[in-house]
Amino acid sequence: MTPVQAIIAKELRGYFVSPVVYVVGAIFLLIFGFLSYLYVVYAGYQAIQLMQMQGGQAQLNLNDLVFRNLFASMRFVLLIILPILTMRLFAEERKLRTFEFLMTSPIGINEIVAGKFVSVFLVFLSLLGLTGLVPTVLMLFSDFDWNPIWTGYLGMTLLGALFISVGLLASAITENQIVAAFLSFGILLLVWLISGLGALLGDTMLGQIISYVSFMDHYDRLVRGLIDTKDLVYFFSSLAFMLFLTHRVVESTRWK
Amino acid sequence: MSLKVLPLGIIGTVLAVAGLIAYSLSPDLLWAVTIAEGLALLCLILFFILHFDAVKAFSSRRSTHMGANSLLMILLVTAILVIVNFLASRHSIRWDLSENQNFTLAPQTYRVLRSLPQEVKITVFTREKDPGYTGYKERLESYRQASNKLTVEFVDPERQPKIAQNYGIFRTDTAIFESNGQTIRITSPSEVELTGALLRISKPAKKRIVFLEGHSERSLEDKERNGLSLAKEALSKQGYDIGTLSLLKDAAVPDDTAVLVLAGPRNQVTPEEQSRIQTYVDKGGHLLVMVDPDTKADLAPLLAHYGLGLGQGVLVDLQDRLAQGDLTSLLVRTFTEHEITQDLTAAVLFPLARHLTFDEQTGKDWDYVPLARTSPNSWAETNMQGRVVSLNEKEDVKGPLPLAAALSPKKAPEEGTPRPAIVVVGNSTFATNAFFNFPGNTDFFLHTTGWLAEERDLISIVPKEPALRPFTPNPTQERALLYIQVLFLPIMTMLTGVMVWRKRRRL
Repeated sequence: MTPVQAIIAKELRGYFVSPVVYVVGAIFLLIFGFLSYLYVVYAGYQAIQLMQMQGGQAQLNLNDLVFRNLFASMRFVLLIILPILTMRLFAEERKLRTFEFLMTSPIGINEIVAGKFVSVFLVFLSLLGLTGLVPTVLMLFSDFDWNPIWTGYLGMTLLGALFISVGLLASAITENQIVAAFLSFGILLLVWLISGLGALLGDTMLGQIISYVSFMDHYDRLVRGLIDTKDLVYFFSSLAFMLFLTHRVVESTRWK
Repeated sequence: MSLKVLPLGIIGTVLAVAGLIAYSLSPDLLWAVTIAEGLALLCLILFFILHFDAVKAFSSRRSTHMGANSLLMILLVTAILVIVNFLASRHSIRWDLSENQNFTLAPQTYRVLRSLPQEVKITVFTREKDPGYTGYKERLESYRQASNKLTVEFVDPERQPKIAQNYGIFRTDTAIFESNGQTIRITSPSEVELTGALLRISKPAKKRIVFLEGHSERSLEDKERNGLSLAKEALSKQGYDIGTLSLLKDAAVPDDTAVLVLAGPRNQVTPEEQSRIQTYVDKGGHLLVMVDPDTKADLAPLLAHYGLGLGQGVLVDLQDRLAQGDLTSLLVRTFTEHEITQDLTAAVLFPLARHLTFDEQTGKDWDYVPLARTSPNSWAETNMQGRVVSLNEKEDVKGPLPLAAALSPKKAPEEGTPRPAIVVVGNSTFATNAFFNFPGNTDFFLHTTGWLAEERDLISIVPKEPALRPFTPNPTQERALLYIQVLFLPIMTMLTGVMVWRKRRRL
């Protein structure tokens, strides 16, 4: 077993024996299922309304009325759920004083950071995999296009990975888990909100830069069914940057 | 007291920051800010001199070295990532997997975008909740991706009413194209509209729309209820040059006429004039005829040449009509799929209209598309004496009946020659000031003139059908969805959690 695998295995064991992951997972799945249910029922009402009105030009399909809204709403759910999953990663080690053991062990910082990131990411992916039941069940009753759903899931995966890396950084900064959760929540919310500022500044240079820095537009395009290399580059580079910063923060404990 | 006791470092930093804040608040007080910054500099220099040993010790500490090193690395990585993202945003590749190919533009659009001669500024007045918002957002992003000559700005007319007022916006989902002192407005985010606006604004010469006069037609200058001043204003805003023409004085329709309009003639149009109009159309001209019931214009010879005829009587509709209005106030909602009608979102109000007929034999060379129709509960009433409420099978013509139609030749014209087109509407009142601001009426009038004046190659953009796959769950399906989607997974997860927890407790 390589050091990264060892770290992943240890973290995953930690997750699955504690009730946190089950509670968080159940709430995540409940919200995902409930939102999709509400959107389906609402789409039904809307279809009836629009079909009564002739000349209604609105797009009337599940992709547009259900999945697009569902994926858009899940941003906010991820923003709350993922910091809770990541808050313990380094903060708990510091609190329990096992951090020193980890740092003095022959495992490199790269491997520690990678192992911890991958472990939460796997937990997140398994939750995301379970949500696949929702479109599968809907497929039995109705007709929709799968392609935008795949891109929506790709968007959720990339956004989740980015959120996890921010949570990892926050957890590396402090030894208090609550502070870590709030810190990552705050950072992500701020990055979310600045997209509003970017929209307000419009097509100016500054507006474009600010809109680009926020994950909102990048995620939106994926949810709407467009895979653009610039969005992929954005997600991968910001993910790499967050992991790099985490590496720096963890390494800084060795300076004293 | 020694200077060393004073917290010079803190004082210096506070002064420096306070100076910057003061400058940002009131740049006029530059002298005060200069003094503050000067003092700050003095304090910091003094601090470094007085605490030189401490500063030296700090800078030679291992952690300081490592910190500086780390900071440098972070800056370097940031710079690399900024460059990578900049390059990626400039040279991106896209795969459009959306259900309706929303991000893929027609080849004609790419051609127009590539040949844009100058910068075009597009201001879109829309709110997130408006139906056109996503359409504008998606399409214009693809447009901007394809051309760097476009600047796009989204304005929420509720949040920024001043800008909306300056542009004279009275409905949302409106986009204003500005370039070279010209402005064009559109009200739908369809590719046909967007590309059409770009094509029009990039042409230096304005297209000329000419209204025929001399037969008591509705006047362009008349600002009263029966005038066409609002229609004229709307056409000017679309970037057209508007003029009038008398075929009694002039021997022919001028060659630069993009569209010739007959706006409700009431007196006879002489056979001579009709033959001049026919010559104009046969040479590739575009004609819009709006003709009311009970007119003495007698356009039959001209229209019959193309197989068209004007039905007798006045259209009466029990179903598609204005709620408080007369049975003859038609609120038409049934449109045939055509470039003119494809983006119509509101019904069109035609007060007092007549229907049209088409003779397949005479008009066999022409493609006839009835644009708007009355409902099946309608008829053309030939006897308007007294109150009309019922259909007289013997005299009246039973609906649904067409009251607007477009005609274009079946055969493609020879290379380089313009293709004629005719639109006939059995009513001219809909375009008068009294009814023009009715949303459907504005759109129908502008779409019609737009279609007639437009380059024909533009019209070949196939409009994207909205993906219509409605799903209304029945009660059983709804309950099944509730059990499987909402309850099953979370309960299973929770149960697993409880089981793990119990197992752990027993250990």
